[in-house]
Amino acid sequence: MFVVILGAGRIGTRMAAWISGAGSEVTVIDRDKQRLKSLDIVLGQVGLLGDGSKIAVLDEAGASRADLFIATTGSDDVNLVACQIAKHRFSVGKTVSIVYNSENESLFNILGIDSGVSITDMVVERIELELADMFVEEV
Amino acid sequence: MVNSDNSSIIDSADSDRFQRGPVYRARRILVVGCSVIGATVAVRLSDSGNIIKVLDRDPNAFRLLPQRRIETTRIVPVVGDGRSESDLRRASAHESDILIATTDSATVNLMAAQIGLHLIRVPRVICLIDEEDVGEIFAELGIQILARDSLTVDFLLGEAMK
Repeated sequence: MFVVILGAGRIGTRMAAWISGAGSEVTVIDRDKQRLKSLDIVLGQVGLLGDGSKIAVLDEAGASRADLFIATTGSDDVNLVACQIAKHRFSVGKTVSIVYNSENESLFNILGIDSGVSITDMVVERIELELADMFVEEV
Repeated sequence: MVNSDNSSIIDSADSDRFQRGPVYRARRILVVGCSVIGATVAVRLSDSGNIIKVLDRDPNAFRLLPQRRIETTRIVPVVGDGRSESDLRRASAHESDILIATTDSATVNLMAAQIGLHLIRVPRVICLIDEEDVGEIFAELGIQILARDSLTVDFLLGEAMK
């Protein structure tokens, strides 16, 4: 399997390490040279410098032969547009994206992003779960 | 911040004045992004009698708008993010005839346009982006696209042919 990941932040880097550890090929796109450098040290030459919302960059990353596209930048707009280009221009079979503003989750679904993961909801729910015992009903 | 009571009185007076004539119906237009282009479009559309709201994250961006238009509420600035459905609604996207996305970021514009089209159902959505080849994808998805690169080439060719 070949996976293209957008964003070499904490999430993108961990995803890349996991996918590559599972024996699949991976390319990670990021606009920040420094972040790609630290990624390449761990995983070998997997980084590509560029703006992942541009067709030329996705093309260079090999999007046309990718089975999976994962968008992990901190900007919902960049993640959305990159997934749409991957899907409609490069016919990537499956597109997955982080959604920071949970208000946008339905938009990602409507627009055919196969999976929009709302980070904010997830973290808030987790924190609520962790703190649940503090809020037991007092009699 | 915008005084909504005040603006609604003047808006309705404005629309009365323009809606009576058979020639042109004043449109309610939301401009997302008070860039130089956004501000210029807002002023031009206001010149022809339309009711304009301008949404921008940065309150300082509204300095590009003529103070007089803001005072007379012919152009109403609203502080907010074009990528947020609730901010777009706060800028009356749901009551607008047209949404024009003109921030400096193509991805923000595409997202605002698609929220407007699919979630808020604005009748007409126009989106400014950088590259024609990206535009082709989104034109097929129902967005009216203006691409800076092809506009510039068209303009230069037009000038060269003069």
